[in-house]
Amino acid sequence: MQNTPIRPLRFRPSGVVAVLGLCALSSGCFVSRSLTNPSIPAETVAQIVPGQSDANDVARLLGAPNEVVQLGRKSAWRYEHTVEKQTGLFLILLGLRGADTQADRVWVFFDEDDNVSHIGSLLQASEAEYDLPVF
Amino acid sequence: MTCRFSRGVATCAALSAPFLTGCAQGAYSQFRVFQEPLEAAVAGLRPGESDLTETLDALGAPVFVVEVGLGMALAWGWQATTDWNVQVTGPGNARGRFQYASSDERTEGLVLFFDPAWTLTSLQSGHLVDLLPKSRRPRDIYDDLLDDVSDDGTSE
Repeated sequence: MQNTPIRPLRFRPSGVVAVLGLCALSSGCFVSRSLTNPSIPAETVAQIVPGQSDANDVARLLGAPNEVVQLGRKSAWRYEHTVEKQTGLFLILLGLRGADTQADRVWVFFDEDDNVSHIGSLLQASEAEYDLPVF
Repeated sequence: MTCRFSRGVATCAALSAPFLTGCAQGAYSQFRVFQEPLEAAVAGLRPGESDLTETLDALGAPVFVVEVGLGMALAWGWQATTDWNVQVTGPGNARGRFQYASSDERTEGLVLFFDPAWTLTSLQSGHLVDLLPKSRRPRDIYDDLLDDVSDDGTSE
């Protein structure tokens, strides 16, 4: 068996100075992600068919809505899942902060008999990004 | 022995001293909330012709739905701003603040109005708070998006 000699780690003095300088200037940083409600799978939304599904089907598939809007004798239910991603870097001279909020959102419209008449969805929660602003 | 500094170094030191001592704080922030609908999708909608199905297919789910008269309004809203903020604290109660935002802090929006048969009657874009009267706005998690902002950029 051949032993490979261990090479000592080498740092350039300028690199060490740069890293130490950055550490000295950074007084803190954070990364956070906050969610509201469970995500809404596209496959589940696809099972709700206008003209075929009713309020019972929608409640069984998506659960209790986040909001119910009465529209005369008709109604609409909203389902929503939001993702907020935040990043922050605090330097002695400056703080940088970025926040991105995106949502999965579904509106289901019902006729007078509680049958689904229309459905609209926008599934963008997965597109939320950790994005520190740069100049 | 006399220490000599160039004028540039002295100016730089004088300007950075408030920051280094914690008397001044600077912040650069970037916020994005939801996304603007595609322009082409909006352009394809025709008042008097487009119905709710066509609208939802083109724009997806709105941020909120409200009853307006015998019809309804659907609203989409989004925000994308970057801003600078410098705050200086002096002795006693002396304070100064400078703020610059790349765009208006109010939420941009698009509101589509529908008649009782749920056919598109009109389409308006602008600041969401201006498009829907206060009495027509839903009280919900979107309160932040719909906060009125005064002319100087501070919330009411």
